[in-house]
Amino acid sequence: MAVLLGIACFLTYYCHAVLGTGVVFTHLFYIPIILGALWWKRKGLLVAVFLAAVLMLSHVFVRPDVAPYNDLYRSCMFLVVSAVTAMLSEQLAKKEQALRHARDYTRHLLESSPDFHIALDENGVIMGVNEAFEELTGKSRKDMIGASIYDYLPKDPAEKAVVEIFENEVVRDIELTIKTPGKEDSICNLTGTVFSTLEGGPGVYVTGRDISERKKAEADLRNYLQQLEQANLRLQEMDQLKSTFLASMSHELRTPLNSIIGFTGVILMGIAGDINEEQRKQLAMVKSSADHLLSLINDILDISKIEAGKVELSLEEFELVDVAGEVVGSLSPGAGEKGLEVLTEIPEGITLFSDRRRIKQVLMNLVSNAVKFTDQGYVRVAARVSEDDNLEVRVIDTGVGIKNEDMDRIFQPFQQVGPSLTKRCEGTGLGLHLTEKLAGLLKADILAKSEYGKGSEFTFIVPLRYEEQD
Amino acid sequence: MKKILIVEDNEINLYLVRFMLEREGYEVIEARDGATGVELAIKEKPELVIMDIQLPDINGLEATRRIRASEADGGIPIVALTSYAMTGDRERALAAGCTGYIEKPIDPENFIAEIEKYL
Repeated sequence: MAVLLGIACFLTYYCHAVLGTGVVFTHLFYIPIILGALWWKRKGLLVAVFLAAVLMLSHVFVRPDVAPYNDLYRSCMFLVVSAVTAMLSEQLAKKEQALRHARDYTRHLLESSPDFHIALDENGVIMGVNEAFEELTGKSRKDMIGASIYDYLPKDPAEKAVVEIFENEVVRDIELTIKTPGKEDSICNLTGTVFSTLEGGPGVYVTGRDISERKKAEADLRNYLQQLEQANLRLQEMDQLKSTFLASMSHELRTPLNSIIGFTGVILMGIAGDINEEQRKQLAMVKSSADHLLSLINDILDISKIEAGKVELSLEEFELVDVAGEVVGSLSPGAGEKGLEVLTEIPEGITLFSDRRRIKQVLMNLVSNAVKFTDQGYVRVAARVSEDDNLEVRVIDTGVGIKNEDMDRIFQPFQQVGPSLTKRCEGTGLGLHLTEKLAGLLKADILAKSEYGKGSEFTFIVPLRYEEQD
Repeated sequence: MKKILIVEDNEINLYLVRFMLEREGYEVIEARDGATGVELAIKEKPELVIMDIQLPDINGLEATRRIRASEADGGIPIVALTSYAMTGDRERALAAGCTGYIEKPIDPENFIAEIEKYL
């Protein structure tokens, strides 16, 4: 280019200075000036300055006959033309660059998009696709461009969609199944817009994505939901059945048991006539077994009701001494038979607001356990009010105690820990489990500590006043 | 001879209660369902009614309410036979108008003493 420019400069100078043909040849100077401005942009001005200098020099030394005004005027024109050309060419270059940048950016967006893009003419002939569509169909764009879109979409609904797009300019959420040979058909969600092609005709621009996975997930979810609902219904039915079963078990099991206990009692009292010693002894065993069975049923019912959250507390104010007195009073005779002493340290004047019956049940369980598992020594029941307004009742015995490793099993149902399996104490094995559950109901705690072989200590900590909201 | 009405659908239980009461010299009349119980309570004017809660037709609570509704002075003592397992039976019995309750299973040693508290 520089060489061409040099040649152009020389030729113009030669024509102007040597041939001296005037105005026409002076205009030849514009050719290198414009070329220079186009090529070097602003630096092209140097060419104009150089040629202007040549013109002025040739004027002074070679053609002094020409009017100096003309050559000066032309030299200025050289500079103006060069500057304008350089400016225009610079702007053009900038626009071109912006355009190229925009095109690259768009292409990058299109090709990197996970959604597919298709440009169609009005007859449904594919004019362009992006990489995502290639991936979906498994074909290269070379094969697809020029083919009909209806090779890939079901003709009827797709044609209808195209008509709709032309009517509305934009149509969203079109769901179509795209045929992908060798693969499962894909359900796609499409958006179509109208655009004008390079040739000026109408075209349809389609973007979309494969939503087969989502559809499948949605279907799965609906399925699971349905299953869950059914399972829930079954659970509710079963819960209902369980409640009904418990209620009827309560009635059906206990009614005959009540008769057994009642009549055994009547016969034992001798109201129905005299019985001999052996009969009395055996009937007493019947009665004791029936009582045991009844308490087992009651415990199971209690636990079930607590677990089902169906226990209503009946709150009232009462004196601890009264309740403790009843408990110790009913257990002392049995303890006495074993040679045990039941010592009580219950201060007068401790008033509780709670469920009297449940509190009594807890104390009964704890004290009767202590008596049951103690063969010699004593059982001590001591109560005090703690600083944070809790009642603390400690039940201390000098019985068999609990091994460390058994400690965390004692509150489990049907877990009676004792010296050996063969020497089990009588009991339902539900006592402590129920006691703990009752304590939970009363917002109380039960703490246990024990030294194996020396005795145990259970502490029942219950709020003096049961507060509904806590 | 004091007259006691037992409203109880269970044959054996009825027999037990009747046996104990008759031994003590009471005259016992019985009803096996709630409606008959209400009818007898009004017609026979017993000194005491022993009312089971679970009855085949109307339950003991409803029967108690009907007896109370028919009375001018609310006089007849009605003792409910409540079941330990049914939480709230006692409260509901008292709310329905029962004078007191005896919990099942009946303890023959204390039964008569309990009954006589209400006579």
